[in-house]
Formats: sequence, structure tokens, C-alpha cells
Amino acid sequence: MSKRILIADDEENIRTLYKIELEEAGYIVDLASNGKEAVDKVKENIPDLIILDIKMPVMDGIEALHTIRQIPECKNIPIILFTAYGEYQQDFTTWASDAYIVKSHDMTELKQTIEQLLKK
Amino acid sequence: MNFEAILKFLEDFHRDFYIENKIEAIKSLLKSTNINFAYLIINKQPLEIHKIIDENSNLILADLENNINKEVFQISENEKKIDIYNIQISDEQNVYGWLLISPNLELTEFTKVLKAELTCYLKQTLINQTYLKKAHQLETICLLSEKVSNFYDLKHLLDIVTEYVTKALNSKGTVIRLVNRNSNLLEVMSEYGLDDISIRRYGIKPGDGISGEVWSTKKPRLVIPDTEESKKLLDSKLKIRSLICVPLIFENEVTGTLSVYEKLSDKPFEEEDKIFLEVIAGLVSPLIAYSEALEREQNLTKQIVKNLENLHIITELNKIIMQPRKIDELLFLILTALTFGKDIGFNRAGLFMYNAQTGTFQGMIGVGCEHEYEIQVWEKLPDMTTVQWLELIEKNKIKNESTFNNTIRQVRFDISDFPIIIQILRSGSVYVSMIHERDIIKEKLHVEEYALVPLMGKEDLLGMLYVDNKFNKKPIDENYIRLLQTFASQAALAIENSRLYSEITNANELLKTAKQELLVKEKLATVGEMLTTLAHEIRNPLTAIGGFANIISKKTENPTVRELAEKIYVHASKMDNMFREFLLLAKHNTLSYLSIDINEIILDCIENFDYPNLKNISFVFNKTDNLIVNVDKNMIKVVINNLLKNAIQAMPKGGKIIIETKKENSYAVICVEDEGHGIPSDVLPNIFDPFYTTKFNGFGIGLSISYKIIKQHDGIIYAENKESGGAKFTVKLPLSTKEEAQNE
Repeated sequence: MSKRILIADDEENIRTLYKIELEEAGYIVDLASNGKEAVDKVKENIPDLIILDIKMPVMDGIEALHTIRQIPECKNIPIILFTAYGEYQQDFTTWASDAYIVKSHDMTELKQTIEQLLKK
Repeated sequence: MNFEAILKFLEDFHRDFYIENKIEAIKSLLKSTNINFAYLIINKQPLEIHKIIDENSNLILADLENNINKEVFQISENEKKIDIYNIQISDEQNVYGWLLISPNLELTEFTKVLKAELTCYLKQTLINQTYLKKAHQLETICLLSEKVSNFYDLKHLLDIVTEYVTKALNSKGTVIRLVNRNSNLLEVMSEYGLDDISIRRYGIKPGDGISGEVWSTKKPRLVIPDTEESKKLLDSKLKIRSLICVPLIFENEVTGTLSVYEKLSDKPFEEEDKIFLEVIAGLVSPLIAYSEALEREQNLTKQIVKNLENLHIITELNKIIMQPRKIDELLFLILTALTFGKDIGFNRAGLFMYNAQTGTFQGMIGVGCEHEYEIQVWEKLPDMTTVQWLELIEKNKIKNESTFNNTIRQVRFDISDFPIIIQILRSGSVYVSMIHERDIIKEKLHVEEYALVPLMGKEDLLGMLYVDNKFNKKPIDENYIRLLQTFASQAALAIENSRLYSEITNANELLKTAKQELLVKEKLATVGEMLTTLAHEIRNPLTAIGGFANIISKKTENPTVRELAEKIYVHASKMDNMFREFLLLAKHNTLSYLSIDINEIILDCIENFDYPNLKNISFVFNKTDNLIVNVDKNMIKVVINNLLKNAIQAMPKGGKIIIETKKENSYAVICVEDEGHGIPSDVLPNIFDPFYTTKFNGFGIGLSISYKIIKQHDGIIYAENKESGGAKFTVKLPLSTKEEAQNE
């Protein structure tokens, strides 16, 4: 059965790009345009994996990460932080995310990480 | 006995003073007796023999010498022995001669009269002779006094004395030695006629040899032949039998000695000659003392004049030297002053600077020539004072072209190579080299005599001034030494001033550089922030563009669309990589240092260098192995890639890129050279400035990023244009201290 992935990003183009790429890879993709929307979507329907952009309006990726982690059912869901910033690389674990990926149009790294996290 | 005959004899005998007539008188007297053998022997050296009567044979000298003190002795005559009777003619003081007769004559009034008359006569003769001699000597003394009373210089006076004394005493030669007050040694001042006698011509200490003994005892000495002392003289280098040495005494102090050597005749020196010499000595001593005093005074006056001149020179030189200026210019001026013209005029002068850390002296600068022929040029310099010359040098910025400069710069020695140095430094004053001793400076500078004077700064030793007169061989005397001493303290002060001056200049330079760097850093920081924000804003759409292009290229079936979409993808990737690189750099995270061979990084960069159209580009990598640096590998890669990219962009038609690594002191040096158009001179000073914008293709943020990275590594980066065209970028990175430790 196909895994469900939630992607939160404020850039519509990015959302579209990832939706196409991940659906192509055989996942069911849900979208959110900011952190708050993402939290709502998670509460509605718990996904198998969440990808959060860090810099988003209303609620940013870090806050969303913390909020989602507080939902009991979501404690062990793999969450990937996802950004254009490079500078946080060393600190991602303290934010209780499972991976940290720098945005790129090259999807290889993202796809590999998703595959690994879902296997666990 | 005939009384009348005696009266007749007395009459004849006293008629005159000539010995021949006296002998005749005795002969007449003896005719009335049976005596057939009679001789008168006068006691002189050698014995003076007068035959009175000898009918059968001649007296043989050997017989006489052996028997002269016997009252009766035998000689052979026609194979029969005859007895000779010896009447000694003497008084209480002296033996004047002997009267030899045969056969025996009774001791009668006759012989008494003969003996008394002969004694009287011979005694008188001796006295006369003595007076004659004295008269002659007095004449000498008179002449000498006359000569010396209008003398004008000591040497001349002494030469007159030695010549007169030699002649007056009929001797081989004469020497006057005077006490040198500085060295306290007796030194030969004048000599006459002694060319073939090796007297001691070097300084004599008190009590040393005959002269030395006379000096210390203040008593004259007479050495006569056939004594122990005479034999010693014969055995010595002197090869003479007799001499007289008298002291020259003035105010109860010995000022010198007067020695006369060997009579030309067979006669030895006598007590009287000694007395004569004492008289001469008494006459000459005050004159010598006076003359010495006069000479000293003259020298003193000369010295004072000279000192005044020197003082003037030094004051004038000071005006020039004490102005703040670069140390090498200053040293050149100081050494020129030491070598120029009549004022000071050493043949060569140089400076050794001292390195306290290593304990070595290094030749820094020299003025003067290395070859004999050059000195003629030197001497033909225009007639002007040292000060005028120095001003000329300054005005025309004359450079030091002395050949000696090259020589002295190659001289370097350790304190331990040159033990005398400790002594020199301790004394702090001028050191003039020893005549017969070899040392490292004589060897290295090929010189026989030189002088060194330490230059003492306020706190430590700065170095040493060196001077010599290699070519004209003028001895480095007291005048020079005094001048050098004064000069050295001035020079030391000037050098220290100049050091201070250059330190201040350096500090100013540092301050300027620091200011500039601060400006660059500020700009970098601002630019960095701006670009960081911009990069983020651009990366999002860029990701989308690249991503969509990728999707299009995969989904389309139209080959043209696929190709174009792929192009978009590639270009988006490039841009993305650029931003990634930049963002990586803009981060304020710490660098992750790693000890690595710089060559490894460069090789990696060259092998994986990714740039469109590398067809006409060739890489030449000349490496020096084992250059371990402690760096962030990725950062240095960024720098190398930037430099390679620059080089390629500078050569649109292709060419060769030469990359070279080498070791320079504690730095690993990387040079990247191209064959392109070089860097315009107006761009060159600002090439690492991030704000500096230029149309000049390719130089932009890349170089200023490189600059920042290299600075973070405590390194240096700079650009220059090669004479052969093309640009050359040089990066210096500190070598890892670990690597240094291994080397040691």
C-alpha cells in the first residue's frame, strides 16, 4: 500500500514540483502552505512521513515540528526538515527531526532519505 | 863604576823626549861594561820592544811573553843557553816596563840610576799619552757640544752623537736606545756603523741583557775581551768581544742607554773610554730630555689641532647622520665618512650586525675597494671635505657600488669562531688586530691589520664597525683609534635612531594595512548579508525551475523540447551550485581544520575541474612534495577552483595554466599563472575588494571569497602581472607546525 507523505512549503512551485516527483515515485502526497495548515492536516489524517520547510509564514517549520511531536500518535513519525538555508545542518537533531535536507531541484537525495526513513 | 860616565848618561838621557835618543844614551852607558845583550820592553798592549844591544842573536817574542815576570830566565843562543836578567821598571802603582840584560850586572848605583831614570821617563810618557787622549776626547766633546747646541730634532741629535762617539772611540759602531714611556721598553732610536752587527732592535725590558741591566742598575758596564762575559758576547748573535754601555740619566732617572761596540784596532776598550762615554752621556742626557719634552709638546699641539679638526668633522657628520632616514642609506653614509679623503680615509670600512638570538655576526655593508687598481680611482675623487661629499651623495642619491660591499656581505661568523670578540666586547673600545696572530677576519677579508669597534646601543650590542688600510698599509695608530671611538658611539646612536625610525614607519604601515583590512572586512560582511538574503530568495525559484525542467525533459517526447529542458536543468544546476558554495562560505561556522598535503587538494581540484570547453586548456603542475598545511580542505578547494576559473577566463582562446607549489620559510606557496591578458593596472590594487565592480570579466565575488578564506587560514593572497604577460596569483599558507616538528 502506498505511503502517505505530507509536504509543507509556502512556495507553490516547490509544492507542485515535489508533488509531481513524489507521486511519480509512488507515494500519496498531501500539501500544506504553512506550518499551521500542516499541523491541522496531520491532526485530520496522520501521514507516514512529514516534510517541513523551515521558513514559512504563520507558523514556521520548527514550530510546526514541535507541535506535531506533541501529538501522541505522531511521536515516531519521521519528519524531514527542508530548507534553502545551509547553516543549520549541524543542529537539526536538537529539533527532534529525523533528517535535514537542503532544497534542490535534484530529487535524488530527498528520495533516498524518504525511502530509508520509511523502511524503519 | 865611572861617575863621569853616569853624569854623561844623565846629560844624554835628558837632552830630549824621544825614545830613540834615550835608547842611544843607555847604549853608550852600557858600552863601558861587558854587557852584550840588552832590551827595553815597554808595558803596553802589545809589548813595545826596543833593542839596545844584541850582538849575537835576536830576542824571540815567545821567550819574552812567557818569562816577562821572572827575575832570571834562559834563552837559547847558538845552541848554548844564556841567562837573561830582568830588571822590572815599576813604582807602587804600575809596572811600566822591563830592562833585560846579560850577563848579570851587579846591583850597583849604576843599575839603580838606570832603573830610576827609566821609571821616571816611562811614567811621564804614559801620563803624556793619557793627556793627549783626553785632549782629543775633549776636542770631540767640544765639537759635539757645538753641534748639538743648535739641534732641531731629537733623531738628528742622536744621529750626530752616535756618529761622533763611534769615530772618537775608533769603534765599530754605536747605538742609543731610549725608554719608550708608553710601552716601558728600551727602543733603538739611533745607530751608527752597525749594519753587519745584529744588535737587539726590538724593545728591551728592564734587566734584560746588558742594556737592560744598565737601565735598572743605572751603572755603566764595560765588557773586556777574554772574560766570561766577552765569551758570551762572542757566542751570541753579536759576535763581538767588547762593549761599553752607559746609562743616560736625567733628574736621577734613566732615559736611555748609549752602547759602543768593539774597537776597530786590536786594543780593547779601557776604563777611560767608559769615563769618556759617561761624560758624553752627561752632556747628551739633558738635551735628550729637553728634546723629548719639546717633541711631546709639539705632538700634543698637533694632536689638539687634529682633535679639533676631527671634532669639527664629527659635528658636521652628525648633522647629516642624525636626520631620520632608512638604515641602509645611513650605514652607507657612515662608512663613506670613514673611508673618504684626507680627513679620515681608511681604505675599507664595513659593518657587522649582531644577531643576539643566534649569536652571529653578519657582514651587512662595506665601503671601499677590493683591488689595488681601484684605489687610484678612489684617490682621484674631487677635492672636497667629507661633509661636502656626503651631501653630494645624498643629493644625487649615489648608490653604494663598492666591491668590498660584496665581499663583506659574504662574511658571517659565530662568537665561538672568534674568541677575541669577547675581549673586544668587554673592553667596549677599539680593537686593533695583533700582528702575528691569525684570525677569522684576517682570513676572510684577506688583510694583515684591521680594527674593530663595537657599536653599543642603549641596551644591547648592535654590531661592530670594521676598518682597515689594506692597500696603503698605514698603521692604525692612536689618532685613528681615538677617532674611531668617537665615531662608533655616534654611529651606534644613529643606527639606533634609525631603527626606531623604521619601527615607527613599519608600525604606521601596519596600521594602514589593518585599516584597509578592516574596511574590506566590513564590506565583506555587508555584502555577505545582502547576498545571503538574495541567495535564499533566488534559490527557491531556481529549485523550481531546475525541477520542472527535469520533469519536462523526462516526460516529453519531442527531442527539441527535451534538449532545451536539459539545458535549463544544467544551467540551473550551475547557478544552484554557485549559491550553495556561497552560502557555505557566508556561514559563520568554524572551519574544520585538517592536516593535509596541499598538493593533494590541488590535484583533486585539477582532476575534478568542471568547466565547459576545457579543450584548449592544458594544466602544468610543478609540485614540491610534502607541504603539509592545516586547513579546511573544502574552503581551500573553493580558492583553488576560483583561481583556476580565473585563469581559464583570462584565456578565451586557450592556453597553459602553470600551477606551482614550493616551500618558502614557514609557508607553503601556491602560484597559479596564466597566459592571458593580465590584470589592468587600475583593477590590480582592488582585485580582492568585494565592492569593486568592474566590467572586466570574471573577477568578482570569487576572488573576494578566496581572500576571505585565505585570511581565515592566516595566509596571504596576492595578484601580479608577469613581465611575459598574463597574471600570476600567489597564495601562501602557513605550514603545519607538525610538519616542521618532523623536519627537525
